[in-house]
Amino acid sequence: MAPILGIDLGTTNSLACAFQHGRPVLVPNALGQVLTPSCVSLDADGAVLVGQAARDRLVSHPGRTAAAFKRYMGTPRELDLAGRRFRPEELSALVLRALKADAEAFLGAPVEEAVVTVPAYFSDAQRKATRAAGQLAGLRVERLLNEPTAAALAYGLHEGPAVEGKLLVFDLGGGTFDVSVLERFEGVMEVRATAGDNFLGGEDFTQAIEDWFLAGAGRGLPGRGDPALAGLRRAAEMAKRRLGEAEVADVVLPWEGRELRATLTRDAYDALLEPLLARLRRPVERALRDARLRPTDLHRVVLAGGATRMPAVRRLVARLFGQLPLQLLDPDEVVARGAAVQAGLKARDQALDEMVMTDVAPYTLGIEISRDSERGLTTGHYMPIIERNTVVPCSRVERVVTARDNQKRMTIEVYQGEARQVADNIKLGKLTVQVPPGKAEEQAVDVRFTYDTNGILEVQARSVESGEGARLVIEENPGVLTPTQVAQRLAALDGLKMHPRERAEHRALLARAGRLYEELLGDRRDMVGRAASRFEAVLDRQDVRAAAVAAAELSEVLDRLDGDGGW
Amino acid sequence: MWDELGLAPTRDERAIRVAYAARLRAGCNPEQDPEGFQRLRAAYERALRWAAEPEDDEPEDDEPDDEPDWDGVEPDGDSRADQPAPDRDTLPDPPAPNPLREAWDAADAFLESFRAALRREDGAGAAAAVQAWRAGDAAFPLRVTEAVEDRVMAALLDADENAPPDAIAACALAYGWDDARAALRHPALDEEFGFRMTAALWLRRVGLMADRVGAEAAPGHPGRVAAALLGRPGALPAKPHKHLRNHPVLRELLQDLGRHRAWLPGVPRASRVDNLRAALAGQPWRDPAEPGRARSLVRRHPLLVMIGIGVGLAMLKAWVHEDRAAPVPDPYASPAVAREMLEGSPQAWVAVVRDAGGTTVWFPQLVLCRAVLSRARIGLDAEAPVRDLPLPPPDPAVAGCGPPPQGAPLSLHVPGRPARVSVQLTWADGTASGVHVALPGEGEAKGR
Repeated sequence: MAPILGIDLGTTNSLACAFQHGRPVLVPNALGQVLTPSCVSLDADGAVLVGQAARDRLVSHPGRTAAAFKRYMGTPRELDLAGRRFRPEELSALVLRALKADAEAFLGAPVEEAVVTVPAYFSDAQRKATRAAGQLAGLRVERLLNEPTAAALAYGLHEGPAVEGKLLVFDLGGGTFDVSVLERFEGVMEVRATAGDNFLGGEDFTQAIEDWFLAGAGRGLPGRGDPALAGLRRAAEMAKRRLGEAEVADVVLPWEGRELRATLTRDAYDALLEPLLARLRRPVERALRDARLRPTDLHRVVLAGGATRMPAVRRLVARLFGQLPLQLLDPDEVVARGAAVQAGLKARDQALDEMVMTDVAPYTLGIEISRDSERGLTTGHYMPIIERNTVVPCSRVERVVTARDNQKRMTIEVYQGEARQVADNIKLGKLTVQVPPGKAEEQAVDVRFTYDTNGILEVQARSVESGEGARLVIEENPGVLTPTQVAQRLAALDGLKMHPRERAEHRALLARAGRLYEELLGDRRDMVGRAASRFEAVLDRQDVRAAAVAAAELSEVLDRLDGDGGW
Repeated sequence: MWDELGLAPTRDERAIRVAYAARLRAGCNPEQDPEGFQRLRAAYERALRWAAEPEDDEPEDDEPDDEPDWDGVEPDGDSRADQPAPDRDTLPDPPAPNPLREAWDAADAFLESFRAALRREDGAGAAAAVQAWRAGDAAFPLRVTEAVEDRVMAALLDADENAPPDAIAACALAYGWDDARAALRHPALDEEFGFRMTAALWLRRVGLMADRVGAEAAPGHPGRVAAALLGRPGALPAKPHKHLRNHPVLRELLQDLGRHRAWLPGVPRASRVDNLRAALAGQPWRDPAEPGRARSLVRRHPLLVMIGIGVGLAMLKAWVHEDRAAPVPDPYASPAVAREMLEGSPQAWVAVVRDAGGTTVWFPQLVLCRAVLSRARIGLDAEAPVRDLPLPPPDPAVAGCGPPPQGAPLSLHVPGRPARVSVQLTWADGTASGVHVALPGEGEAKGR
């Protein structure tokens, strides 16, 4: 049987993991690393580079490179790479293709099916976009798994079947924040409640440092996001990492032949973080309230997501819950491991015989209705049909009646959100159903919401008398590709040249050299330039042995100059 | 339902959970049998509800005799949280069935104090009571807390007109009645009360959001707060109602918007501002899409003037009317209007904000209108206005007010904690203004 792959498609990094011999095994990429940066770059001859090489090219070729596109999933926004426009689904698909190729090389078998994780708080449109990305990558994504649930699954397997109790997963990734409260009993992993913020993650912390730099030492530079400032993100990222341990860190930006330098102290950094940290509290409170638990009821708090490495985040977690968070598994890897566990569950792996997981719907889903009041019929009221934190899969029916005499059709507008007025919620789509003539309130329509384990909603409406029905296909959402569009994009992506995997290591070395060349000055810069040219000359000779030797030499030079190591 | 679970009827929660888990593991789960799982889950939830219901009028009688004595076994939550769980036997199941009698006694005491506060129309007292109750009630069985919630709602409905808004807001927040689903669960929730609840909640929310957004925006830029609030979905109530009339929070928001327009990260939709104004004037809400809105705006003009907030209003008007091209004095185009505006509202010249490191004098207004100024000076405490504020050079392309150049300072840090700051402007024509005295904390949003 073809293996099912577990994939953590992250904002900053992505990982693939397979379930083998009763445990999750992380898949290394062509460079031997398990973290593949979620970056895509087009090189000069139009070939696609994914991963570390692309990330290094963010500095040297910002106009041809894209990162953090997960943030735009489910929106109509397109990113420009060297004049070619890509949707976030397509960029994600390129990352997925790279992971698929890595896994096939590692497992020695074709991979067709995958479990892909998404932030629990991802909306309908964002989930559909993730599925489309899988389709574009040639993967059957039969299961979208919520990231905090994945983390809990990984811990569940790690801890063994006997451990019970309530746990909270605090998942702060590169771009999104999720909190899930779970309970384990009798081998069942039950998600009790989920809350989150789709636009809060480690990237925001880096951005805060960038903004601070631009407001001080970098005053007068072009604004954030300008391609000329591509090196700043990396400088800010490294300062963020150093401030994890050190009291001060320098942010250094080479600019027009000189170095702009600013020193960020721990105190100033903490002040920058405070507004972001404050936003972590609300979802935690909400998840606990929905689960009807107090912080002291939790038996353990588990961290997931690379941003939970930050000491400031850990301190906050400890303060919020009055206990130190547990960290038995690497927070960067735990979600991917959980995805592999889910893949194992799906494949009915024997090792997971005693394990069952149930998840919940993160949002309330409902429709717009009119109500009678003293001012007459008022519209815009929200009628929830599936309440948030209902166990999925679930299916609920509500009956609604006509508002006017001889109403010919009824339009059902579908919303997601918690507010009493639909205007404050997110519209997912609408469908229209014909109703037989009759007096107001005498004709009824049954509206059925079906929410599956992937978090995808299907809506059906049926007139009670005539039996005539309609099904919702959400097509008017500009953030979601229609099946025809998917087919078109798939053809377009297939036309792209992928960089051959066996040469990935050399590409990554050259990209790293290019990035260092941009960052360094003077002699050291020359050294990088010369070493890279020598390497390119050897590559042109097509001699495999010589190329390997030259690669080792270049790599040594780069290691010596790149004081901060890889990132 | 018991067939589904494969269990004889029981009120033993643990037995129900064990039976449910066994069925899940046997294949009736979301992965292998989604349909069957839905039936099983429904049966499980019904069984748990049934188990939680009192068997007769004496709720404390329904604990099965074979239930262990939790009082002796369970340590409190804090000490339990310190240790990882070696196995399930040493880890009792919170929420443990507490003695019900105790829970009902505590609930009665709370309800009594809550009702008494309502009778006194003591909103703060009622709010504090409900918050204190909610802080601890998770320890009690759900059936108690839910019954209490119903009674809290009933008490508010009984108090009707006299229910203080802060008490309503506190209860709504404590119980999540701001959620549609919770609100609908209460058939007693009549529309009028619903509106009052929404109004009270909304005001509360504006307060909370202002704090949060204020921390996110550059500190000391209150205009961003207002703008960010209006730019957020849900920041404005979807319906107007009389309970919002003349509320100080609304008034401040409007003033803030007008005054700090130059820094707004995005211009809020005019319809949102219209709605805000309508709420303040106690006028019926206007659907922004409805025709005839322009006429009603003109009719509302006198009311705007009555609100009387000087510069904020002048700028707000200019901006609300921007997209309708109505001829209004525009400080952005005319130096005369800009100067008139500054002269008319000296309290907007600077805002003095105390912070940990000393005192910051914010002067965004003056930077905006630098085209009509040659210099601006401040003095601390008894000092004469001798310190120059660093105004950037005017933009030659702009005659009246214009946005500041990028990176231009909008504030000046001054040492110590002066009790007052005097400000004097010198106009572009060389004449000097009178001296205005600003106090710390003043001028931020109050506009007195």
